[in-house]
Amino acid sequence: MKTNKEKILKYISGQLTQEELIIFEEELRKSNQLKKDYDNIKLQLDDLSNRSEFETNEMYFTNLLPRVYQRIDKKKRFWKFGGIYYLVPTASAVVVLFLFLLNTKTNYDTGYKDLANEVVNNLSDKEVSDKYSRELEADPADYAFNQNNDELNIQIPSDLELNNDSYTRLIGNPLANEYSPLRNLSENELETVYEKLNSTTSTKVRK
Amino acid sequence: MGTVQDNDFELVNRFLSGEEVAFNLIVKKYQKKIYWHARQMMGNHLDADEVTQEVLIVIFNKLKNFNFNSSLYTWIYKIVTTRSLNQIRKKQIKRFFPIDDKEEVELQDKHDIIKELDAREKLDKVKKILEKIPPKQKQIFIMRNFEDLSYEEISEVTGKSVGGLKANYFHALKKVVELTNENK
Repeated sequence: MKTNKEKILKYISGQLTQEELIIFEEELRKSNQLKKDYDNIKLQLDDLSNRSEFETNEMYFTNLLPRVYQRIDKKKRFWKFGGIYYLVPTASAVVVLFLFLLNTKTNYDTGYKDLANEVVNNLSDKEVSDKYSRELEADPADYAFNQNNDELNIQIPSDLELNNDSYTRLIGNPLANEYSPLRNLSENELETVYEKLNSTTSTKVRK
Repeated sequence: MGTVQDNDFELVNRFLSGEEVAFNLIVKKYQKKIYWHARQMMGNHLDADEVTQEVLIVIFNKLKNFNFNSSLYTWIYKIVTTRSLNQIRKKQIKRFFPIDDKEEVELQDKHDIIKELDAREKLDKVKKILEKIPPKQKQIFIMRNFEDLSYEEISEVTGKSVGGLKANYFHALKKVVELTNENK
């Protein structure tokens, strides 16, 4: 039966080659067992496929179209009127979020630019040479506290030589970070600040 | 077939020129086919009803883009098959969340459009077999066995090759026969 079943199902599903098809149909005529198995499977499948006999409630199909129109109208009304109740708060939220992000971005930019400008443009050679030796070994955080009249100085002790060690201390020190806009900068921006500070300080000291 | 297509062509053009009644005629013409495909795929009336309504709404909204690259019937069929498969996926996701099965069965019975109890039992038997078959095999089984579509027509609807469809149908048949024997 198993071999017959496989063959019969391949026949029904159209998977037999032309040659196999001729052999199968020939066998179907000659073999009673194959014929019996084939009829049995066909009967099973036909038994499942007689939905046309089902008597249905025609009211369902009569009412279907009005129900569909109701849903279409509902959607149209939503976009025409109801949507505003959803769109206005959503749009407001988007605007607020956009402004927030814009503001944050500006802060980052300003913070970064101020820091860079302060270091690159505003330090005199004298300041650098005076403070370079005096503050070289100071902890950036202590220095920051001592200079708290000037917010920018609190944020970053700009006249220190920022070697790797002090850079790490500056970034890693919680006291320094607490007052520092550095925590608002990305890793790349920090890296740039550090490089600029380092090169500017070195140049000025060399002078 | 030519007359049917000509008629569809006329109906679509009438709808596009603003005659909403043409849409009503299209619905009347295809609603039972849509419903029965969805019904066999979903196995119950409420889901089939949901799919049918969704399909008719899609037809209403998208008919303006229909360009007669295929017959209207094939185009509608594509929508029904896709929506039915989507609905099955939704149901599978819902199974992760506990629901009151008893309540759902009662709801199904209350709304079912099949009048006779015998017919309902028969349909239930088919449902129990078909729900154990993977959705895509079930889809081909339904199209071949219940809707008498040719492989070429199914290929146009599903976008699958005829060879692939034959293989899928063979596996579907095999499972259906096994399950029918088990349920005897």
